[in-house]
Amino acid sequence: MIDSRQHESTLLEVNNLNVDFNTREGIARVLNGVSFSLQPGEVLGIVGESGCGKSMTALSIMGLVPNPPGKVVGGKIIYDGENLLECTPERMRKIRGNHISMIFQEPMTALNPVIRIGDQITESLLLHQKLSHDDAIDKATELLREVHVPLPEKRIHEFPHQLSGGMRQRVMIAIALACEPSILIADEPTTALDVTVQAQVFDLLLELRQERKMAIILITHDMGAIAEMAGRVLVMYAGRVIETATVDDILQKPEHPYTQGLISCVPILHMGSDTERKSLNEIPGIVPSLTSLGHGCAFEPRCQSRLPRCAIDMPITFDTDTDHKTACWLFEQR
Amino acid sequence: MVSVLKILGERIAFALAVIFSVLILNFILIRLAPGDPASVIAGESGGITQEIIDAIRKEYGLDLPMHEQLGIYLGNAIKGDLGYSYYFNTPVVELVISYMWPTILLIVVATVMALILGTVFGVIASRKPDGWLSNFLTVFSLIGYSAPPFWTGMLLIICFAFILPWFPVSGYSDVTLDVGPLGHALDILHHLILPSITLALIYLAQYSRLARASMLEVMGSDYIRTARAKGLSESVVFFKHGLRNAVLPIITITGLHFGNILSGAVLVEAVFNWPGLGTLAFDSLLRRDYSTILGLLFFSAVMTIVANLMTDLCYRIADPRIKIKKR
Ligand SMILES: Nc1ncnc2c1ncn2[C@@H]1O[C@H](COP(=O)(O)OP(=O)(O)O)[C@@H](O)[C@H]1O
Ligand SMILES: [Mg+2]
Repeated sequence: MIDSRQHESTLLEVNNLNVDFNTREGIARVLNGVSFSLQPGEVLGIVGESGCGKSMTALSIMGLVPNPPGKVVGGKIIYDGENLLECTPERMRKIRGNHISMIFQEPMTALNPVIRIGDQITESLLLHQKLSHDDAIDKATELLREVHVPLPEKRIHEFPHQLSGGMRQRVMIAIALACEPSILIADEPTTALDVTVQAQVFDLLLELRQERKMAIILITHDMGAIAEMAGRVLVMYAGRVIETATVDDILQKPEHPYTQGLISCVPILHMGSDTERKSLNEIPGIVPSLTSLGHGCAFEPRCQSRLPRCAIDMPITFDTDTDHKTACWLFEQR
Repeated sequence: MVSVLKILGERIAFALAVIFSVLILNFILIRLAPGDPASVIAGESGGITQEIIDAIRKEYGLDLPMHEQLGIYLGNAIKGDLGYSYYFNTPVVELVISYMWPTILLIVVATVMALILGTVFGVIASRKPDGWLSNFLTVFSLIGYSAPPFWTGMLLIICFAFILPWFPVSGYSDVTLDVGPLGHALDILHHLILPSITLALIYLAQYSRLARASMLEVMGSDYIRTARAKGLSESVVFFKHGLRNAVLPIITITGLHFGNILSGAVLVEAVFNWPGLGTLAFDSLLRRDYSTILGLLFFSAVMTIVANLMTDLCYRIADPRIKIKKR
């Protein structure tokens, strides 16, 4: 595991990111003051219930927030000394798919149904690396072999519908890896797959991380995978980062009541296809509507340990330990 | 490859079965018509003598039992004999072939016009789903769809043949001109413009609405997000990843519309006095020239089947998923 305490050269820094969505009920603050950093080669896990803004965080980094209805309304995303929120669309296209790539949740629909696998992989090679067509095809075959797709020479001539879900996700990973990015964002890469295939895809990501030394932002519900792969973990709730810590701290001494709720029912913390994987625990209550958040903590209505002020004041983020930050009033005295 | 051939074989077998059914339907229709089948076949063109009636009775074996009559009828059809028009004094097949080309010209030009312009309008409109072009297309397609072609045809004639005398009022070509083959072709084109616009208008608006909806849906799909995530330029995303998927439903609809276009052509031909199958069908109906009408019925069934086969083929080329999935 990468030691997360060495901050010598931050690769990506997200600072106070705010994203708004125009919805029928009004303006929803989908991301609210999201801040974190990513070191080279680090695996950062992002966890949280559905709708808490994990995908939006990823899409903001990629510059792919659907606009309209969404809009990045504030903050900074510094990659390699450059604020991605201020660079031109042309510059952003040079970074996307080249320095920062992303794999998505739905392998069944994420590939273009009418374009051959080979073409879909070579596209970014031809664009960013200016390879010749033949070299690009060779590289694509090589990539497919690397992500363990059987018969890669044959597969590059096939269409997505001829592959299974797991194979398609491998193809997606090959596409994302094509230009050897320094950051790979994997947004719930296994949610749509069978349990055994999930384990294979995580094993593949783990293997690739060790070989390529790239940084990974891993968004998943699979705490087993987080335990196995991640160095640090962000816990998100209603568009905010409510706790950040090393993976061991998050799993062994979670501080925020929400994190404790998430973790409380995860007995098996190691990976393997034969062990049963445990997903995030269900916490009673529902995630509040983002258009009608009050002034206080968004988790307050569901919180077992709430204080009177939680309903009135938004908690600030407290440094509770080395590399452990929690946004909860319970930790004010420390 | 094997599966493609197999599916093609199935399709052709199916087409043959449909053609066979149309022939049987024709056969029954003649027998169901009131009166002596021989005089039905002869038609009501006048000047039919008893000798002709007798000859027909002999040729079609009308004294024989039904199944033998059917055998004779089918045998003739297979040999390419669809009967004889006593009005024109010509075999129906020859008649149909000589009237066929103007109709094919009209249909092809109108379809291509509707398809290309419709797709272009729809795709442009999809860039701004609430823009003026989108709103215009909505109204326009309602008008185009509900206005009967003879009304639009008349309107176009009044505007662009009388008030602004740019185009001829009707007909296929001007026989009084002596301008050589190229001039003749240009003359036909000149005559073709108003009728083909009239026919295209029915579908143009529909296709552009469809193209707009299809493009909007495709541009919101996951693989478009993947394409953007690769850093591709917006035009590559739009044309390579978007448009190719968006045209699939338009191709299908065009194929399915072929029968409608053919019947639309009948009306348009009647308005513009365009000497095609529509005019022939219209006139033959008025004359009760059954042989010709049934021949046309058979022929349009064949044309529709061929058009559907061709659509299927185009669709297979455009959409790789169809190759292994049976529809
Ligand atoms: N197209 C959209 N229009 C309106 N709201 C959206 C849209 N996409 C996402 N959201 C909202 O943004 C919030 C964060 O979504 P997302 O980042 O996808 O959550 P998740 O953590 O499950 O990945 C959700 O509450 C969702 O309702
Ligand atoms: Mg998500």
